[in-house]
Amino acid sequence: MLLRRLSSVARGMLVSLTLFGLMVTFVRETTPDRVPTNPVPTIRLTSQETDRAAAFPPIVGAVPAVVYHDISGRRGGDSVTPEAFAEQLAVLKAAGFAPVGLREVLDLVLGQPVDLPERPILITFDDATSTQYTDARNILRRYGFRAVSFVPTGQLADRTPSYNLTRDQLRQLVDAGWGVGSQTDTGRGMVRTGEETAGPWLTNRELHPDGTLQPVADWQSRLTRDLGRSADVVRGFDRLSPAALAYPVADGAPSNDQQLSALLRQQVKQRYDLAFTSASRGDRAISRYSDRWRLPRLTVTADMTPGALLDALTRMVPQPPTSQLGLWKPRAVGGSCVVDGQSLRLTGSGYVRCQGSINDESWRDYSLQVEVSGGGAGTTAMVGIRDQGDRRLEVAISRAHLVVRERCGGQGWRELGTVSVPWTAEATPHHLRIRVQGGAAVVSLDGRQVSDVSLDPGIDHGAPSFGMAANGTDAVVFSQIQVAPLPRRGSPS
Amino acid sequence: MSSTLSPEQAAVVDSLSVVIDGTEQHGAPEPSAGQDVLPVAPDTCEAGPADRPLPTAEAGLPAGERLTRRLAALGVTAICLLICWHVTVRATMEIQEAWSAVYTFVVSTYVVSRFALAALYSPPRDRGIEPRVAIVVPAYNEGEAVVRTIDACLALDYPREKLEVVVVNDGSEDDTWEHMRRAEAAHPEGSVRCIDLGSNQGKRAAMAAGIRATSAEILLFVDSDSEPAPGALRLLVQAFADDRVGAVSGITHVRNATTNALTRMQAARYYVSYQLIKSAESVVGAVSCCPGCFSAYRRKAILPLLAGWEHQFFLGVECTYGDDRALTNRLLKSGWRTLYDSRAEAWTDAPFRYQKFFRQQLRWKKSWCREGPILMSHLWRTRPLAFPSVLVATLAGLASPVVILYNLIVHPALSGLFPLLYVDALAMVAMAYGLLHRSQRRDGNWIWAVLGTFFYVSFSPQLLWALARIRDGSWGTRAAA
Repeated sequence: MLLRRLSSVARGMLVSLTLFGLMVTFVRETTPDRVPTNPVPTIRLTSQETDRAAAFPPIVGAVPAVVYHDISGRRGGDSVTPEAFAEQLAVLKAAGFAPVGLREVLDLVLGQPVDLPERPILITFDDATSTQYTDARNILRRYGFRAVSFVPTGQLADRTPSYNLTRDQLRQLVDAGWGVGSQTDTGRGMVRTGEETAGPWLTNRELHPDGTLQPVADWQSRLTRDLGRSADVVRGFDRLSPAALAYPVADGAPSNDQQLSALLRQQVKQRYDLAFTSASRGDRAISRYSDRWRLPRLTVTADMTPGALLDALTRMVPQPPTSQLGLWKPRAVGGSCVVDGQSLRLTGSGYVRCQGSINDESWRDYSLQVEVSGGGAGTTAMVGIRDQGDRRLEVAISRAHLVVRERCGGQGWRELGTVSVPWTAEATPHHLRIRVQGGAAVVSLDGRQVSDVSLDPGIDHGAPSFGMAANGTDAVVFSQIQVAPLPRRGSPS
Repeated sequence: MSSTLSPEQAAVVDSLSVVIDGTEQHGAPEPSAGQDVLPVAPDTCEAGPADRPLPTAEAGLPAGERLTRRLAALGVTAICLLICWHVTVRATMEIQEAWSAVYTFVVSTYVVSRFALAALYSPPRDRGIEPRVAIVVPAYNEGEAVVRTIDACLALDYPREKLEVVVVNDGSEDDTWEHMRRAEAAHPEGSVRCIDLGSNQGKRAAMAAGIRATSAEILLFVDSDSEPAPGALRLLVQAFADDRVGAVSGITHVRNATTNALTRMQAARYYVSYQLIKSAESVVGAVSCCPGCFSAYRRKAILPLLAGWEHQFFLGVECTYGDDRALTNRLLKSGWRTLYDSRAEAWTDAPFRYQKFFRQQLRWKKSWCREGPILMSHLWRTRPLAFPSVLVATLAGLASPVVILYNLIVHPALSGLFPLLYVDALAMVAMAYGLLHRSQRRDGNWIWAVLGTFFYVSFSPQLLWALARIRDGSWGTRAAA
């Protein structure tokens, strides 16, 4: 009798517990976020802004990426006010931009066929701030955009109020069409690096109290765990997007061991399909030439007006090779540089250089023709090809010689060939023609081929530049400048 | 719907609509065995009235049992309150998604209203009336079983002179007719009337012939394998004291409940359907189906409707299934009230093999799909109070297969997320059924009400098949035989 009563009480308790569990789960799963979402600010663009937007050219084979952090009126940091954010999206929409996701970006960098809108843009968020849910989501939806949120997965919150997104909020963002990427799990955590210094553990080995540095193997296993955990969490939210990482520390963050960056890259490559950096001047859009594990993003700041945003995007978008010097926006260093039609006149003393500020990402295989004239006896005129600043092919012409040389980053100059130049008393202009195609360059002077060289693989793209080295004050004129794209060597087109 | 609802919200709402899907269409056991080749499953013969659970009266129960029932009822209340809370929160917090808020509100209100109305239900009052009653029994190839049915009918506790059995032979190819005549001779004159249609004309024709042949005020429809409790008829007719009442449904229990898991689940299902859905419908006087296995109809009410019902056409095909639902539907359309009497009990056999069970379910689903929209088309003026719930039940019920497939298969497959909320809400509703069962009965079957909910949900996409085959009038069982 007692046994029977006990068993029925036990059964009753089991049923009650089950029901209680079900009800608690129900309440937990259905409790809406107590953080209400904010209304979308009303934006009216000026007619100038609308005109400026309407003139934005189509983008071919590239995707500019932008990164936001916090959409709020908080001061400092990377916060952008909801009004500014809405204004920026309004002008992007007016310019005809349409959102793309990580999948398209991956196909693009892999060189696979990808169907991109006429003006694609990848909008991303870092830091998993809750304002992505309360403000950014609705504003994006109003203007027909979606975004990718890179989340430091270790900072996702369980309940509101919270500075960071809650898991539930992130899930709702995914349901609204957002993609999710990783910003490591705890990669921004700090470690002691010196007596009174600390730095992100991602780029630093910890200084132990006994004065020894954490072994690299320890640092590496911690990194492996962190990246693995973060990738798993992200996959739980977004199974469809390719695995992507945004480095949580700025480029050039202090590091007490230079080999860590290579090791970090190695591990990132193992676990992710894509990795993003960010810079206030994200000077390149993502294209098939981009480094898959160091994709640039433009950090959008609060003070960026719609016009400034469009300017920045224009700079990011690669421009095809063109002879229109006006588009190059040449800038002189050490002297002056005057553009007149297809001519460019350098004046100054000593070393003068004139470089375009065009986005020359897609300047790869092309030919340059130019008439070089002027310059005194001790003056050398220089034409740079595929100029990336510290990397370029250069043809230098003086009274007596023509020198072909290349510069590869920190390795300095390497001479590829020297040719005597026939001296003429009248200083008639020299006709210079340089063709670069793949890894080879052919230089012709006055209709005669004078050099055929192979280039360092690092010299793979860039617009031409012009320079002059004079003993005193002098002037050199580069005229009848003509640039023509060449078919890519080895490709059928 | 997923375009306006976030999946999370959709999950809750849809698991609630399972309730609709799960109960509404199954609340109407149709007479089927009367035309089945196997009249009674052999292993169920022994399970007779002696095994019947006691009627559900609180008085005289041990204190422990009373406490258990109270606690179970408390559990049901708690679940309903939780759903109400959820609705309130959704409606107030999610203004931005107005459509989903409205959807959640409507569907949840329907579900809770069933429990609330069922709580308000009380059976019709005993007025002491004893009208003349005719029991119409259509018979097709029943053989000797028809004698048992006739004997059982005449064994009812009701004045003999006021009770007659009208047996209609629907062109049986066996010796049914001979057995009928023998039974007629064995009983006092006037108490058994035999009619022979001469050829097989279908169940509706047989029933219509029986109805026309009698002049009794009240008609009792009983399946050949249904067995009413002796006092059930006396209770059932009391509702007709109200002149506005056209039909009354009794409660049918599953006699072979203990055969296997399938019959246990059906038994629990029947009980919950009657005590929840029919009770709630009865409160507003519009029980949408007075099932042919055990219901009484007022002859005066159905005579004018008889010809149209007998030759009902739907999408150009003469209807052969869902005759009870169609008849109730027509009564409601003519302005009659239909009620439910939970005191009048009967027992019937439920299919114990899955194949037969699924065929039966298909027939019910087909008749539900056909009669639901017809009911909607007139109920808004004949019984406005009952209309909103029928509207919600019909629309949400029709959407339920898609909704269930989406939430349990498509969305989890695409997102990789386990449908936790959906399954949880489903389990909660299943618990509400089980506890409702336990709060009224102690037969150990309440857990089968819980399990059965999942079972019934799992094959609810059958509704799509029913829709596709809605014009197919074949009886299923007969074709297979």
